[in-house]
Amino acid sequence: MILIILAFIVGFGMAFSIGANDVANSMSTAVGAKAITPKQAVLIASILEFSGAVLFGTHVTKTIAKGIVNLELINNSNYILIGAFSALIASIIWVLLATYWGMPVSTTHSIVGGMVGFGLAAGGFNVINWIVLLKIVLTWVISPLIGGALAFVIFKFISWSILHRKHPAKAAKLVAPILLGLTFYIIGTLFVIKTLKENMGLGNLIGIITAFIVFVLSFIFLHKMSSDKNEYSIVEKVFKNAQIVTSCYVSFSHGANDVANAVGPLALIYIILTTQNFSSEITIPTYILALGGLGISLGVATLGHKVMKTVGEDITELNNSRGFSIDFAAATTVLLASTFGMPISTTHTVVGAVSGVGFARGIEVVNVGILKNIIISWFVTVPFAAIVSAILFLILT
Amino acid sequence: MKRFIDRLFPEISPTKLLSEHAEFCFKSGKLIPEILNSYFEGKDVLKYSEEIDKYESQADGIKTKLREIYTKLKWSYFDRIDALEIIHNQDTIIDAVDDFVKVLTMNKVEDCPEEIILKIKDLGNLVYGSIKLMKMSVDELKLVVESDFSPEEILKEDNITFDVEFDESSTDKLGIEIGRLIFKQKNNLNPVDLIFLNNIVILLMKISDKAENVVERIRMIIR
Repeated sequence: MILIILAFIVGFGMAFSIGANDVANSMSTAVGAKAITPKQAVLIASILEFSGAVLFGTHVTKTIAKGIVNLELINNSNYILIGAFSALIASIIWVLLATYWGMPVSTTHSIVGGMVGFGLAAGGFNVINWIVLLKIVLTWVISPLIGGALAFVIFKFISWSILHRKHPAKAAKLVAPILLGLTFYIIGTLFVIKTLKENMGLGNLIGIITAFIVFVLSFIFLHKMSSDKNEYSIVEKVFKNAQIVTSCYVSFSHGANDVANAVGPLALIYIILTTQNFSSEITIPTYILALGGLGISLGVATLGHKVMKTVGEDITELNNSRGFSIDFAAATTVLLASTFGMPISTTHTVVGAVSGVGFARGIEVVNVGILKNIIISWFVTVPFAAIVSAILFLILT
Repeated sequence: MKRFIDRLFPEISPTKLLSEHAEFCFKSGKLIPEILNSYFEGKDVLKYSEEIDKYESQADGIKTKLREIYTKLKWSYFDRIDALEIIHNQDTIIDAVDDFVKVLTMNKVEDCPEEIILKIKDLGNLVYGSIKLMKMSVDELKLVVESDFSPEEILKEDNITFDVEFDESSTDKLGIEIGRLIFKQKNNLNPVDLIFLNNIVILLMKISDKAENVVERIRMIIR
């Protein structure tokens, strides 16, 4: 009982730290492009992180809880309990240290490293599900690339369909609703297929209906906007409104993926303690996801404002059409990864998306030197969290 | 402390810096007709030099910022050399206006025929026009970038370039005409004044030439 209370406290603390720190990175482009104020970002994130966690969080949580370590091969529920706890603690230690040193680390990489460390210490190399781990590592490499490619395509589409038209403002009022419709098509379809486990036909039908409603509503709303200013200013104003929606999308996707970093091991501890069964297919209780979502929301609501304000003030050279492309690409990549149960870093995906828009000539100057930090994050975070987790496991057992 | 994502972006966009720098060129250029009026009315023009010095120092600050952006940030679609060359050419405009004022303070031309004075004033206005168009061209560059190099905006930039080229050619024609008028006065005017006036005309023509260099460079990089 003490362990479960402790696990809940630690898991909630981890979720709180994700909310306080990490959410600002995912919302940075919307705040930086002045689509939303830091206060609005806090409000959006508080609601949408929770919704994403509860509605889509189960897939990645399952991977963290049971996908990386082959629990059947350990076959000792006490070891698994201590191991899950060690992974969580190791991850928190690394995130705290990295924050103190000012290093950009991913909680996703920390928790994966933590789980690998406990697995190795508990049962050696055979216990690790190398295929799943390889898939996860591959998605870490691929996700910034997909985010970048998607952002490139979206920005080029905006460029071709709006910016290069004779009347960009008029074109923006038609194209932006299409892109917003597409956003809701993706969310609706994936929700029906992956979360409700319904067939693809129904998923597409719900997706199309949702997309059509969003298209009509946003078309009516954007059409009312005045057209008396400079054409490009109107385009940016249209995308300023559209970016409010994509900032919600980013927040929702972030909650869906990152909640697992906090509640993955917690879910495992809870399931073992309540069912004593870890061999069959596990079901993540919704209230555990809700607890993680609540932790993230509370972190954002209490400490997130200051970080969002700093980020917003520092990013001055980003306009809304570019911000929209970045947000759309990053959120879509993260949400897709979430539905496939792949834990990825939202921050790294955003970096990939920013570079993608940069390569599409959307941003004048991009500091691509920052990409090396992503690689450092992979090579430092995972081994460190794994070693600390293994040591903790050995000490506690 | 800057965070991970923030470091991806420049603190200020290079085209915005070019535009801010061009504003100082414009302010210096705007003084040319006023300086010529004051000079031919026999007033002291040294105060203008002090004003231009101030612009020069503020423009230098912008130049340093631009250089820093290109040193720290690795990837950009405008080549570092192009951006620095544009700002260097803009810089030479302020320098040339400053030189022009300083030269004016060195000598006082007496008994200059009214026709020459009027033509030199016209030349001053033409040069100011070139700088004004150059500023427009730099501002248009921002729109070209914002529109992701839309053909419409590139066409507008092209048109400004043609206007500057036309202005520069008019400046040259007028400069030559004034030169001829000045040397026709070889039997009436002091030889030192003749050479002095001719130098003033050449300096003004050079300013217009520098403005043309800026727009030509801009035209090259948006192609």
